[in-house]
Amino acid sequence: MSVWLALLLMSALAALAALASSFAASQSRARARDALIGAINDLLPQTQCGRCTYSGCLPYATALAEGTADINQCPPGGDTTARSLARLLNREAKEVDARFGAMPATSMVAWIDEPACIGCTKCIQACPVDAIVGGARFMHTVIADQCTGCELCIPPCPVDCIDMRPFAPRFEAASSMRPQR
Amino acid sequence: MSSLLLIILSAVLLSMIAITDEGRWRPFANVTDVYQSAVGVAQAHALAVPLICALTWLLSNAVLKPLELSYLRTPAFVAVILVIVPLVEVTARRARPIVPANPAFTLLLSANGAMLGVALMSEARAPSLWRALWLGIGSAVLFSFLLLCAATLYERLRYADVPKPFRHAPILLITAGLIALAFMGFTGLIQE
Repeated sequence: MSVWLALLLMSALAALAALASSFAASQSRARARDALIGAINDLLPQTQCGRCTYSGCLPYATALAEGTADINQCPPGGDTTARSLARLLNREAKEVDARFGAMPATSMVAWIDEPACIGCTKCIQACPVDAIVGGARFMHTVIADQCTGCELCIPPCPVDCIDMRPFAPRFEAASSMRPQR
Repeated sequence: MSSLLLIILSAVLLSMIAITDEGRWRPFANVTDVYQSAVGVAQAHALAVPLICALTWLLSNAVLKPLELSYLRTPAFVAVILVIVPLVEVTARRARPIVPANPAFTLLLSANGAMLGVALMSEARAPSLWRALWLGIGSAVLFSFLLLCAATLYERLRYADVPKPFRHAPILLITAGLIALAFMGFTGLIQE
């Protein structure tokens, strides 16, 4: 009788210990997953363009971490991003799939033809990084430094006044800061 | 009293060797500061030891003794420690900016003399749950104090001109031995 009691007691204690350590292990797995998603997200270009078929860079990173997405779905990042993703996730490197859109040769930013703009604010709502400023019935403009070139503002524009232009950093501002000779 | 001190001193020695070890035995990831790491281990002990003391005392007096299973106390206490330590680890991860490294942290805590030794002592000596809890709190405080002292000692020893064969673990063993000798002076101070 006492032997069975001893067995029962020790099994109960062992089961409790197993539960506790599996709880700790599941916690550490969840943390490791979050760390992996963060590491993948750091490699992505943060254009939030959605061309990978996910709603943004973080959802794509989550899908990559879960293994439901492939590494070649990010055209803005291009082959550089695909290569570094392959290295991080220990997968075979491959080129960006053309189905997800063309890779831009140079980095492009949106540009608004300001006289044509009617101030409808539709592009402001479309912009994932809040790089367009302007109010209703007032002229809008693009903050070129903030624009990721995702092209999401082009389809909503009712007057087609948004173009993509090569990103040219404004050196005039920087040079005017220099001391005059 | 002196046996409690010696149990805790051995736990401090084990923790110090783990903390100062080069490489993968460190209980905290990415911590190079010995003192900071010691603070982490001390906090984990301060949380775990009183809890384990109270639980093992309850287990022993409410379950083991009435059922005449007292011979099971050591394995049963080990099982209780293995229940508490992962929970302490989860709490430590939530609360602390420095993150315990798996599995060194769990191993260090569960294989520590302070856990089982103090649990067995409280079971043998404490007449009530409160006394067991106080013994646990007292020994946790003592452990934390000694561990932090040892950490600061070690920080100083790093810059001292210790002969090469005595560096790292040997000098720690000698230091702990000297402290243990000093603790033997407590023998008989409190009549038990």
